[in-house]
Amino acid sequence: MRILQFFITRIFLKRWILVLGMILLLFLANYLSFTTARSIISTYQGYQEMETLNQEGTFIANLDPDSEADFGKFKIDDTQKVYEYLNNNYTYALRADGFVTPLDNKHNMEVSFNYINEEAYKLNQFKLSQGNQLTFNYNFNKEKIPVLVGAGLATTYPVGSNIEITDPVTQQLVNLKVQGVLKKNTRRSNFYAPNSKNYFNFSIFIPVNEKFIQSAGLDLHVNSLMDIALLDSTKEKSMNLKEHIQENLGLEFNFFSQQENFNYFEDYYVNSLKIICTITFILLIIIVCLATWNTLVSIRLMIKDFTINLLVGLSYSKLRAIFYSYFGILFSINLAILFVITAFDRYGFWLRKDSTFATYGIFGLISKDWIALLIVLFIDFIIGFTIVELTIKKIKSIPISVGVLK
Amino acid sequence: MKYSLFRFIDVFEAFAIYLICFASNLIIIYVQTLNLEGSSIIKSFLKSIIDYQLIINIFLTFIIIVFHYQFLNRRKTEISCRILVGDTMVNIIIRYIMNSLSILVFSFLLSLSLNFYLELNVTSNLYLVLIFIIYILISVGQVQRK
Repeated sequence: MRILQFFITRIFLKRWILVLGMILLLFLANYLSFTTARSIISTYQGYQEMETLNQEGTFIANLDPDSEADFGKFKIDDTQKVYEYLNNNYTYALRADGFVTPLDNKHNMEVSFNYINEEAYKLNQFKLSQGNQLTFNYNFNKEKIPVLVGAGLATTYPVGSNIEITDPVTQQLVNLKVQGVLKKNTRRSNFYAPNSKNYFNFSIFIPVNEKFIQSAGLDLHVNSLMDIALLDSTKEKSMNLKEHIQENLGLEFNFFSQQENFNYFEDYYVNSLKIICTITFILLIIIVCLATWNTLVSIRLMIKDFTINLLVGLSYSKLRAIFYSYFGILFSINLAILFVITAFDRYGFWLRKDSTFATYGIFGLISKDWIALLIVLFIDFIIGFTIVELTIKKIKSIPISVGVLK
Repeated sequence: MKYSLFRFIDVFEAFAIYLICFASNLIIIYVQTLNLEGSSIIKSFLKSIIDYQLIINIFLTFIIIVFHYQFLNRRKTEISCRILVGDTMVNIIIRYIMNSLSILVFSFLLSLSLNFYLELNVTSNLYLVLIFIIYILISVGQVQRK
């Protein structure tokens, strides 16, 4: 320990510019690995969520990009006709998120109302920290609506409490009863951008049944149609719905089967991840080359100090241990900086009152951040090993007598 | 490069570092011009790098400080010897500045070919040139004899 302290204070820090240069380079390598690891984990999580829809007979609606939609022209009668047709002929999963509503809460966050029908609810299988799962057989306008609240709302609205509020989609005064609390950081990945997530810590999930849909306004009707999923259906039936929507709303929807979606998304995910990994690999190689160059020029300047110590009895194995410890310290500094930046980034969502991205986690970091940090640690081991072994090889190649004379 | 403190390997190292800095800046600028609407995964990944463009570039330019520092430290004995045989510190400093600037200008001109290839504005790298000139002028203080 004393020899390590001696090397750091008397040899390395004497030329602090080289140490700082090394820290900056290693930080770039760590940040790059961290970003890549987090992207991969996030995409994988999104892919797993999408997998729940990859079942035989599932057809997912997708508004044709060439379809010209004039949302102002829609009439409630037309959308209701579509939903009547859907209710009579199909089993479908419906979900519409993000109807922001002013609702008092301890953290003064915006609260979003998310609407979900029974089929979509069964597919998602939300985990609860308290209370019971949602029920869908309530009588709208006559009974209280059972709802699930996000973890951030649990203290203000615990299980059993009532919320009286004007519902944003029906524009009616409704009475909500908190039936359960979602687990912290319950999330949903964007269907077309699986690496981006919406967190439901400040959301309220409202169960939607047929009567609710009839009372709802155009916002819910149109938004829900955008990624409605037909379950236990056939291509022919999905084409019938497509025609029905086109007749009533003039919108052209595509309904992709489970196999089509699966092939498309698998290609999309795999190709994107391949590109990301290739970019990262090339950049990491460049950074590691620069870091190695930085170490080699350090040796050019410090060789006298190293060889004098070797002359008076320091063994190469001990020198190797000193280098590993030195790089361990540099990597620890970088990991600590990365940790602080990430935690501050996450805390920023709380400061900006951005309820969609506000998350709970150990020291502010959520699970994917921790996993990414572990991956960075592993990459650091590889980089550290490469640089230290090259350094020792270089030092060994210089005879002690020549080194001392320098 | 007569009487220069720079050997071929030093010129090569400095040249390579300048080029890495210029190229990384240009590539980051180029990526911003790409239309990545079709691939949100790649777009958000690149955004997390592009957002820190200035910091990344400044970090990379620090490597040129490392270069000047180690170069001038290794040349201290040579500077002493040159002064012994009649050279003057002023001449050594002037030659050092001129040589460093020529390496910088040459690598900048070469980086312009990447500018043209990627169809980017030729002034994209000018702020880096200014930073490097400042580094060269600061490093003059390190031109010392042993």
